[in-house]
Amino acid sequence: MKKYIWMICAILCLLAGCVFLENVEQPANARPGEEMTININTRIDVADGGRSNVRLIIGFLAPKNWQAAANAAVTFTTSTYGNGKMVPVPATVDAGGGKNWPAILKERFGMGGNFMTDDLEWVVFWTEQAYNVPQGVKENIKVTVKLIPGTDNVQFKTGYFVGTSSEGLSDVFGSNNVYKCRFMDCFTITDGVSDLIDYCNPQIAAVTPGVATDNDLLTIAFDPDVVSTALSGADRIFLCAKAYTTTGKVLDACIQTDQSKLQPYTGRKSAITLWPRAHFNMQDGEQLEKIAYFFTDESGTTKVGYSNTDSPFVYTFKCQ
Amino acid sequence: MKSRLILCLLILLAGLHACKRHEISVPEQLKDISGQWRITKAVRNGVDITTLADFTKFRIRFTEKQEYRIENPMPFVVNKNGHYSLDDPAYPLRISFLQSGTDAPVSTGFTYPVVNGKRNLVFSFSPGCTANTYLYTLERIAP
Repeated sequence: MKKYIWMICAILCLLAGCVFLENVEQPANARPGEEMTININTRIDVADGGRSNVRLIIGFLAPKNWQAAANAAVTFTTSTYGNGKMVPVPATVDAGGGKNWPAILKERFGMGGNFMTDDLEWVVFWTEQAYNVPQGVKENIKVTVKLIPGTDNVQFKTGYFVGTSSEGLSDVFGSNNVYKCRFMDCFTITDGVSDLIDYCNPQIAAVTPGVATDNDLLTIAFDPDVVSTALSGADRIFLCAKAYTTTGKVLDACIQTDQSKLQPYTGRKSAITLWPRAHFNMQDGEQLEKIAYFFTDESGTTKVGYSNTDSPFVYTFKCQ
Repeated sequence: MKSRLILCLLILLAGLHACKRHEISVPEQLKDISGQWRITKAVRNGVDITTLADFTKFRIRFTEKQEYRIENPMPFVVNKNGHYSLDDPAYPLRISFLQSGTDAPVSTGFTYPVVNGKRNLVFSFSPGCTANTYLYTLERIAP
């Protein structure tokens, strides 16, 4: 029976314009703020009646603050179709179900097991020109992505997609034949001056968004499932925080009240969403550099800090 | 023969008269945003955060004298009271806020949809880091 299923899949693939994601070459030593090059080696095999007016589509995961759609330079090389440029797929292009390409890739494939996914996005490009690809074409296409990562130290699980504008995410010819998606291991960009933003591992504390000023709304979440802490089993958890202004002033907000109490969040997590300017009672002209914080119980005596230690979690305000 | 020709001309004239277009001009209603508004939905970077923070106390009141007043501020296009103006009173696409004590107006795009029979104001803005975008939906509070 298994043999027949494979045969059916093979026949369906022969009927389709199959695309393949052969491999991805990521840089070994990427550094914040310095251009890096990613090579995505793809292949197409048009086995049925050919396609007209079709574009190759590639997608990749990136932190939102890289603004990769605007900043990345994407090109491709082929052996018989020449070389060319790829451009961002306009947000108005319907990739299915009224959703655009980044949204449909997030819905279909997710974010590769990363955490804090609100701060990551699918970035999708397609060939600037549309092509007529007759039956029988077998072509290797090397896509080169040059982009400048943000200035943060960051690690996340990269993800890549290849498909075509004619087929989209159709599974008519069998699942995963006319598109491919692959997630990879944790990719690290280090040697910058900022705190490491770690999307790969669950954190006791996580702050969303990853980049912000003191005039943004911050969601500070506590995850009780990462490791057992002194607050395991506590019903009411509070935020105890100090804010540091750019002039060195310290604004203390360590009091256990309804204003500092964490609320139910996702799963077993709890979180507080605050506006720093109000939470720390800031005056006009003051600007925050960072906040240092603990989670406490109702009494304020039991504290949980960074990596379950006595050191505070630190959130540095960064914005590009 | 002559009378036939005259008859034909008369019919033609009557026909031409019948074809005359009568245009009825219906002027677009001026958009009146005066009144007090509250936040009914808040979205940050595409994620609904309405229930995560207390948006219920925020109020913004627009007056017919082009003034606005904010109570219980939250991150918004502006935080201080002042004056506002619309780019087009009939088809407004942008609103400019001029905070008291400042010279530079802050302009932002907004929409004015009718949802469940009620006018809404929908603002898209970045109060802090430009990488973060907020979408607030405001509903007018019945006077």
